[in-house]
Amino acid sequence: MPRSTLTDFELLILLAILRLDNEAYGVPIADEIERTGRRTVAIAAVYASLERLAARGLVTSSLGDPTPERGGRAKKFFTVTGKGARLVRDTYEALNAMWRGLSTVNGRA
Amino acid sequence: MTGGPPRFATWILTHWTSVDECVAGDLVEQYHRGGRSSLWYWRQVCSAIAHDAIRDVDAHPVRAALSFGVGLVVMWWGANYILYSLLNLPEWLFVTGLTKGLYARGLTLPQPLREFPMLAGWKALVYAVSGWVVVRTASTPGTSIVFAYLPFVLGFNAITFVNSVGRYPIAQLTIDLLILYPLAAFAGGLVASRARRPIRGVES
Repeated sequence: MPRSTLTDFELLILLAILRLDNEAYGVPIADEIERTGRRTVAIAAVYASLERLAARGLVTSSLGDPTPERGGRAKKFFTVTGKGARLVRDTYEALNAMWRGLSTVNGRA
Repeated sequence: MTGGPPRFATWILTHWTSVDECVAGDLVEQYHRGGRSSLWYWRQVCSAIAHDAIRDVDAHPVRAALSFGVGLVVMWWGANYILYSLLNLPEWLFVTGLTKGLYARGLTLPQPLREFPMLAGWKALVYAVSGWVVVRTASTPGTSIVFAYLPFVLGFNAITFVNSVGRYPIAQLTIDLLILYPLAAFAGGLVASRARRPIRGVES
């Protein structure tokens, strides 16, 4: 049965795509996660997750034009689908609900 | 391109794996734009290979397990029984008749061919056959399945290594079991892999 939840990495990827809008392909997605998520990311790991997200209908992709900078290879741009956006919002609301009332968390960290 | 990413790493990525060509493009772009090192590039390529192997196994776990099982059986029986039987005229049922027949016709191998280091060469050939069998019996006959098979070969040989310490020199065991034979299995897998068409465009 397909999962109806997101892993933290999948959530970061979806959020990165939403933040990047029309410029979401492998490199900026990885950069965005490294910068805002403060973690190092392997491009292959990003693509592995994107493949799973695409299989679940949460993202779609389209090929751009090949560029010399990339050794003549095309970029693959990703877009979050309506289903993906809903799942991001649901995850945010679930996390937010769990977060409420945890006033002591800052003291423990 | 001068100062480009390691060509060999790019060649491995584009010829030996089934990763999306966009991954290779992204790595080249990130290497140039982000001022990354060759070490970073190699790490990314290794990560891509590992993800590719995991994806293949994950997509067809039963078929992959069967392939690995057949490969390990070929490796174990071939290297430990059939090979010795053929080389040393033993009392082993399956090949006794064959070896006796060969020996009766004077078709014996010269002694040097039955001893170290040639023996290591024969064993390497058996390992190569096991790698070949794994790729040929896997659902996706690409190279990534060989990468997934290598840890099994190494694990298997590590057990043999531990059991053989004291009977053979450590250096010989290390070279044979942990370097030569896994490489032979890998080479056999490469031979069996379908030649992939290089990705369009330049190499780096």
